[in-house]
Amino acid sequence: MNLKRWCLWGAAFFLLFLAILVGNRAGFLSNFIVYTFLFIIAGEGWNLLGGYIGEISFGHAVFFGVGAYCVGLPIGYGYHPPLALLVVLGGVVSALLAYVLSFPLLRMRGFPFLIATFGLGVIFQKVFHISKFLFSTRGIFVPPVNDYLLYSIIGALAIGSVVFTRWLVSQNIGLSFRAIRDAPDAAQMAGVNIFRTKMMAFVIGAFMTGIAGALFALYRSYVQPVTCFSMAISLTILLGPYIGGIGTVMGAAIGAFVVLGLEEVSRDLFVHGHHLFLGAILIIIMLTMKEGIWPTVLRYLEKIPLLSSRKESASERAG
Amino acid sequence: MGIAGLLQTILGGIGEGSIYALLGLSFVLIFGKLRICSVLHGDLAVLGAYTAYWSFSLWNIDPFLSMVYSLPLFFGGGYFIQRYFLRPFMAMETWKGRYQGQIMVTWGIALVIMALEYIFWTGTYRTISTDYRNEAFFVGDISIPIVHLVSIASIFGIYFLITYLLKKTGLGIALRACSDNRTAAMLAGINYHRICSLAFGISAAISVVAGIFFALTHQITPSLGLSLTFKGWVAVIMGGMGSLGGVIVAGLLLGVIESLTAYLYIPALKEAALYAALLVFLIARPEGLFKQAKN
Repeated sequence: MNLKRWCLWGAAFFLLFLAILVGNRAGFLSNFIVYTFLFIIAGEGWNLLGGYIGEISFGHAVFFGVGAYCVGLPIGYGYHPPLALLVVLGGVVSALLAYVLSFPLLRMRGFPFLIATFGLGVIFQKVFHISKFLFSTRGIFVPPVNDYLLYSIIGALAIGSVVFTRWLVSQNIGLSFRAIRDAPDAAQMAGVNIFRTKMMAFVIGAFMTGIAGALFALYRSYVQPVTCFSMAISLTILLGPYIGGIGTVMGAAIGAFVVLGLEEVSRDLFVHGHHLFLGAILIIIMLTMKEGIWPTVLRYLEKIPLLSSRKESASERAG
Repeated sequence: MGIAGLLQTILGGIGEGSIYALLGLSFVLIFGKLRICSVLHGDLAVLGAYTAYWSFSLWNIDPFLSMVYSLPLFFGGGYFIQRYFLRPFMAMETWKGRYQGQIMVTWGIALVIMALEYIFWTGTYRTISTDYRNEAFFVGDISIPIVHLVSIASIFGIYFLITYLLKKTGLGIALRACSDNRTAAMLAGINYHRICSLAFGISAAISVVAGIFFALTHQITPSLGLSLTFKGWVAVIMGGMGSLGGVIVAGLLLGVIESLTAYLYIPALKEAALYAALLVFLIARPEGLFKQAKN
């Protein structure tokens, strides 16, 4: 992986985003892009455990919501620390939560893990829903932040998360991730500590999701259990990588755009239309392109003689 | 809060749990033997409930009577789903992402079903108001709704049906052969994919039964499908991933846990308590209540 090249492309995309932001005057399009960016950050985090290692978590809304409440709770109780600190706190607390949870949860493989994380999501949602200490359904109002500033930061973090994940995966630990997914016994024999590696993916992923949640609180200026902890959030987080390409960074990003774009487009068509389209797309993708949109696109691109003259194939480079 | 109230709650919980047990049975049939994961059956149950609702409100057909045509219909649907949507995954190994793939495809189908339900029946809670819906037996102070009794009876009925099927009929023996040793079964002339489709069809029919009981004790809305699915899976996991008896016990237990939480603690947390029980269980005894002898 050529870190410099990725950073340059990242910077280019960031400038493009800034141009859109200013040109659109932080209007609807920018709004949508930023909302998608939040799910890109969360999705890349989810992808570490879900895509590269293969343990699907249906409950990442837990970390998302914890991050949001790390921003909301202090403000709700009347403290006013600097918001940047609260965002970082959101990530850190989520990471700690993941660390603690990894002991009971990561013992399970595959399906029980999925159900357990889903259950965790339900528990958190219900508990936050009724707890008066946590402001239950009243929610917490967060003071608004300048749109341009917030959106630029989110944009930078989103692009940064993609580059960071790509970098992380190109390290030795990324190899361990994929080894655990593809051949767990061989990996263990080669000396990979499966539990520790999974835990690292889980914790880092939770950190990223927590940051996304904290930024979401600032984006919406309102923190509420229904919007932060709901199953819909969990599912949206994981659908991005799944549709776009699990196990690739660009795939996760593209998938988030596809999922959220679909939701926007079908919102006006008919009620719950986006469920229909989402379901249909999911079925089609799983039956035709098991790996997701991006890897399949890359494979097609490889077949074009002009592009395949590079020594390394594009799909290998995308990771 | 006396003994009578507690007993009433537990009995009500068993009645509730019977639905989870039924769904769990439908999962165990395809998962325990054939390693097919599906998050579809809860939505199938709700769809079955809606079919019964239409039968009742449009043509005044009793829900149980409507099973005569809805069960074969859903059996066929299940067969179709397995044949066309799940077949590509049958060849995959577990560690290659077989379960993930099956889960995603069935989830996609569940989403489509849910969206169609919203179109046809909207999100308004629907009730099947048959005469016997609110009738109950009274034992002293405690009332036992008739529907609960029938659903608990049907669990045992279906359990015995499945056990009979697996042990005595040709289909059942073929199914067990497929589960024990796929290659040998195919060499013996068993059409592996057809057996899988048939099994999926049967499990779809069972989930419809669960759905109808659910409709007779609750009000239905499309979004309930996924939550029912997951509760059924919790019952499967707690019962030991492949054990028929275990899933029944676990399902009933989950119903009781929900009811007791609602009665003794905070009603809004009853689902949370169910999943908390799962987490505690997974930490303490991951193999399940009834350990499976083989794989």
